[in-house]
Amino acid sequence: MKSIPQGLNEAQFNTLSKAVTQKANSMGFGDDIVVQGSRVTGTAKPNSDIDLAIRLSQEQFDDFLKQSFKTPNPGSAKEKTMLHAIQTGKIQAGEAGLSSFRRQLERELGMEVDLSVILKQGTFDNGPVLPLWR
Amino acid sequence: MGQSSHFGDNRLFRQLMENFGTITMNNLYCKIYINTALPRTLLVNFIAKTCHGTVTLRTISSTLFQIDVITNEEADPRLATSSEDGFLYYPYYLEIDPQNSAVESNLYVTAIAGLLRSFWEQGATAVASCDFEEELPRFVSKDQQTVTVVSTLPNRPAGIQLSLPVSGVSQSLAS
Repeated sequence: MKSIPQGLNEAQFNTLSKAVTQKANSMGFGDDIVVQGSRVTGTAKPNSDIDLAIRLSQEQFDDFLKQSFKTPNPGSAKEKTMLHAIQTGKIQAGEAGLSSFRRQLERELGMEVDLSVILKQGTFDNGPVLPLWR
Repeated sequence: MGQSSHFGDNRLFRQLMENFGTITMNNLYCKIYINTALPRTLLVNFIAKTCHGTVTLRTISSTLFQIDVITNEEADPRLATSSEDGFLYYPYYLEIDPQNSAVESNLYVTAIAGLLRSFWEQGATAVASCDFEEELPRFVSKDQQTVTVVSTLPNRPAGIQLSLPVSGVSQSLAS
């Protein structure tokens, strides 16, 4: 029996899996996408978000980081945001160009969605995870 | 030969020159980090009121913007005040995109500046992280109270960081 994140039904998770996988593929990321956090551990509250992470290799992550941030001005807040992304191995939805897509998911699911691009084996690649359905 | 004969329309020429080398539609995304003790629901309502927007979950939609109010999972009160890049650890950040491709970039940037100003006026600290940090104005205290205005770029009016006394933030924004 396939596992489903807490608070979602089979149809919702199926729709979510298809949509996110399709989006990730269109961006050349492949399909290593997981659910993390309280929806996996079973500790979610009704208003908890669902945490989705697209996992990239170091090379993919470095390439996408350059594409996302380009060359920010030295000393700018954007540069500090970029350096933080390098340090933590996490590019948040906005910088990843995924905020609009995330809003669509939120409207579809009726719950908040945290969608990010993370480095495999990085700081945020931890805890129990649930792969999206393929 | 005048400008109008090259471009056919002086208005178009002016518009092109105003936008030249500054902002293009594909880099209007803006993140604003916000330091306030306000609960997120009240912050969302404040932004919606300021932008004349409607709220769906944590997203505010107006004629110019789509704004998501996100709880920063890396928030850390100690780091927020003790380090140079402390804004990365503020309790909230906004992810802001233009409502659609028809939004005029200069109008959009002006509105972002207005939003920053509204936080400043209410005593919150706000830092913009985007491609047009240099386009955002510095704010000056109206009543000459002690106000910290810090640019994250040396000698440039960019990467606005505004600090006012935090007391009264909750009452002001919540009212």
